[in-house]
Amino acid sequence: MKFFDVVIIGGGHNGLVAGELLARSGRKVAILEAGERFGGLAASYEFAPGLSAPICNFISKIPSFLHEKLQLEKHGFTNGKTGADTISLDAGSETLVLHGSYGAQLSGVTPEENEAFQTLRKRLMLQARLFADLERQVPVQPGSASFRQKAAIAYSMAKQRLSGTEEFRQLLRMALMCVADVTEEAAIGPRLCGLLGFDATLGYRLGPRSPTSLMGLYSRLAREIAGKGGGIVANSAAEGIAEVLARAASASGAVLMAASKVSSITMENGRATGIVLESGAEISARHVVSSISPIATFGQLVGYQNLETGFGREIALLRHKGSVSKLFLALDAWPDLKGGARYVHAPSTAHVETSFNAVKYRQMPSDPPFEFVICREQTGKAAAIVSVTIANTPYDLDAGWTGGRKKLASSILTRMNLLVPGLRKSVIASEVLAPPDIEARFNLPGGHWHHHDYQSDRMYALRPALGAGNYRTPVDGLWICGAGTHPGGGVTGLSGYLCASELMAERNGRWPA
Amino acid sequence: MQGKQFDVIVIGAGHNGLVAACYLQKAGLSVAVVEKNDWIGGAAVSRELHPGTLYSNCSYVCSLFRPEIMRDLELPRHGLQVIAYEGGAVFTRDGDYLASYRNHHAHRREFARFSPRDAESYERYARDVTRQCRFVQPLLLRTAPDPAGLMPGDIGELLFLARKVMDLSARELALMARFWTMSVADFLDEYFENNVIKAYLAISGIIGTALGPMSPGTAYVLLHHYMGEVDGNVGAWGYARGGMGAISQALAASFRASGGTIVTGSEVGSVIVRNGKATGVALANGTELDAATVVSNADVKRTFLKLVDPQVLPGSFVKGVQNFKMRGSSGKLNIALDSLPQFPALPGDCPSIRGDLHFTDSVERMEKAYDDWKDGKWSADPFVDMMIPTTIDPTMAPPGQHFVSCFIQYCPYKVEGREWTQADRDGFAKSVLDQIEQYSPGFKSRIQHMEVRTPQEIEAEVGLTEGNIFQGELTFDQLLFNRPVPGYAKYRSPVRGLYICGSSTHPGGGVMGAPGRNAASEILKDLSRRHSHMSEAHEVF
Repeated sequence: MKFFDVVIIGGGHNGLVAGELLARSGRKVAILEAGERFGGLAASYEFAPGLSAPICNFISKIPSFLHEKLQLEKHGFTNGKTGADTISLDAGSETLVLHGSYGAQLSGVTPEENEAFQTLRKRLMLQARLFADLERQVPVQPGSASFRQKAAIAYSMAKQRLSGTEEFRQLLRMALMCVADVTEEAAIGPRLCGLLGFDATLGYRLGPRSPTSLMGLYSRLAREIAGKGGGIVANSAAEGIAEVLARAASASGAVLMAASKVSSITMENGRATGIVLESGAEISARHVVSSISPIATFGQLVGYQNLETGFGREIALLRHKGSVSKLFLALDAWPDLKGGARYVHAPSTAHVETSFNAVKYRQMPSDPPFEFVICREQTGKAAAIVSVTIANTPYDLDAGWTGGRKKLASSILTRMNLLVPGLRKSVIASEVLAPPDIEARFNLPGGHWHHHDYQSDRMYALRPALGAGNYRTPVDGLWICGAGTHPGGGVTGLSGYLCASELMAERNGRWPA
Repeated sequence: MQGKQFDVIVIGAGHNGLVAACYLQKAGLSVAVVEKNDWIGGAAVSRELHPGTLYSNCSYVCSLFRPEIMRDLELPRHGLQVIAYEGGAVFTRDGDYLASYRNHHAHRREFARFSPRDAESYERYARDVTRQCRFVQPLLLRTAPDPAGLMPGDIGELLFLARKVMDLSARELALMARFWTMSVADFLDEYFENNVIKAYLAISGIIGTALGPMSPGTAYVLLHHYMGEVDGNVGAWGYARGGMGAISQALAASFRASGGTIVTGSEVGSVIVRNGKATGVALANGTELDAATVVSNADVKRTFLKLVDPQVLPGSFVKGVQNFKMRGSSGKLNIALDSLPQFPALPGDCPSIRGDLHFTDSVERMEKAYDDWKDGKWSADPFVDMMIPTTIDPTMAPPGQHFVSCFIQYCPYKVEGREWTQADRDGFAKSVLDQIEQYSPGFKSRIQHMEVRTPQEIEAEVGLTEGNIFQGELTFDQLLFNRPVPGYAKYRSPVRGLYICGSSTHPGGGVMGAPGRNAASEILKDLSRRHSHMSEAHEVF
């Protein structure tokens, strides 16, 4: 039997980040990936023979401090362009462009809209600082906060309070509001309302009119603050952040094992002592860290029978049905659009909200909002690769996804063709990944990119559930570090980093004699 | 009344205005309540709109009214009698019904008929909800502290809250955080599996609210509706004998008994402000009444956007008031019937007919009704909360006849952006009556008289902006220290001597009386008067 200090289940970006940091600290680490490739949803995906596309449109939102800590440049992170523009496509009016860090400059709007947007942006950026601070901290567990944790929170709150009485009051008023009301109050014009409404709700199973939907925008802005403003979108389809992280982890001495699907976590006296692979091989470890969905971790690998009822119930009840689909296109000609930018179709709040209605009733929306990026294909098989992210496409479609995929692709292409005339003709290959496909291909229950809903009732110390909010779990020796933990999904590596730092701070003396 | 000097003028004789007036009068001030309508009560009224039949034509059930106020103001002595009713029923499309009972065990047994598992979960659910109610209830009669404020009062109150929060276990704390932010649909999904049971329990999460059961924040609305009690029975609802107007009448009687003056049929045109201080009100007919203290029971938008000259208010405050969300989302049909309607689904001796009756058997149908409202339409499949108070209080109608109150969630303030027409009103009423007729054949033929009230009528008659029954949405951004405007949640306004006491203030809507009582408490503090006749919130164990 092999023995490691730490065995990490799942080679997604969080697993790789945790693995890199733990291996570098001198621990013997193995990272087990069920698939052939590392990186999970941060990797690129081969949708047709020889044609790959990035799955995440933003290939890196890793905060600057973590970027440096992991020395990603040294490991070949050159891909991409910082400060990507966001371009709202809307046939018939001047193109709306957000330049720099989430619209530091705007074009295509009236001077009044520009002024109103900048006022709103400034306020939201200020408020998102609290988010950015909290995203970097291990959540404080109710009733067991250390002095350092309390001080860190008090400091973050004090910073908000010092931004002025009015701003502080606005933070306390706005934090749980819906994005539609906030943008309407700010009078930034229908197209910006639509864009912000889309950005705030993409992947959250909320509509812009759902209270608390502004949180989604805070989360996005927090990552603008913590990372390289404007995010990084792929220039080339060949390599994503995942490959870089895998190299970094390897270089630190972590053992990366692909095609190693874990079938269960072994337990002794209520303590995790290792894992069993599907092949039957056993690996024992001092600590088991799971970067996969908490539902899979506890439901499949640990088993609810080994958990306390209340905790097991909370995990089983996690809302984990995804609502985001992917569409990949290979084009034989570069369209009349520039690369290195993100394009969005979300013309108004009402448009986004109406399409969200469909999710509630498990229907296919007629004109769902979407975003896409275009990148180069290096083997020469296609002139351009388009990676489209489509909102409000429910996992549990009543009519079933068998016919649904084709219908979705056709409705998106029709719309794209209106926005970018001639695009449809140049498509030479395409594939739709609906939430059930994402579930099947990435071992992700529900196909949810946050693993389960990232909403205000499942954030911070309550993510994924009370008792597992600081990366520890009720099972001694078992840790979790995926998007299902604080601070949720998006390629930030923060869950992996925070989990690794908690694990390293733990005294080693807990290993039973 | 001219020539008479008053210390305080209360604008509007709604229940909160009357509660505030009673407390102020009892403290030795001379108080006049000025009401635009020829009757008093605002939205707590009983009106004889059909010969011999009293209509509770706005609010229609009683539970939230704080018992502390009832005792302080001796309302039972002044004629108020609240009779708890025995549950209700949800009719299902397959011809069955889910009854509800005040008796916990009977209720649980009825749940078991639909789902034995849910009957088990109901124990856990009832315990969790009651715990949260116990936490929130004492806060109803306290002024919310200003978290940005640095006054000793604020810090003291924040410490009080912090101590209360520390008393909770980690599990209760987690539950509270979730209760305040979740949607009622998600919340119920964590306990129940049966659609009818979930639909029944979700009702309290949407009444009066411009949100669907799947919108985050509606779990709190459910809590808000659970905090009431009748005869110390937490969560119970009842009818005021003689209709909801009986509450206003009892308040008025209590007020007059302590020497107060009520003037009806006198609309206030504006609040007179001199040198940043309120000095009285000018009536629409030009008469001016002087008083050093003016208390407005009108909603915050009406008060500060219509009655006060915006020039005397800070711009940020006016913006805050403009941003305050008051969305009309409810309508009513008030109906006089010549006989008791029959519901074939109910057994003959079923007590449910004396309670609240509903015809929406899934959360999804409620949500779809909300989607119609978002599009500015009344719902094709409306959610109806129907009551026949005359089954318990026959004094409201001639013998054998009945008054039926149908509350409809959702009904838009404007129909696809335009004003309501008579044809719209008929179409709205038809959608409701058609639904009732399906479950009670012959209902339509029993109708003697019917009053259709859309948010526009509610606004025109009661004065609630957009017809919002809570004087402002109960979303988190408009609760506690945010209600109605951050920094002005203590019933005071930027104008010295001008106070607000309506449901636009903490703790919000429902015939609760707490905003009026809390406002009176703050006014007495400013005037350095004693509070000896005002009880603190009772301890709940």
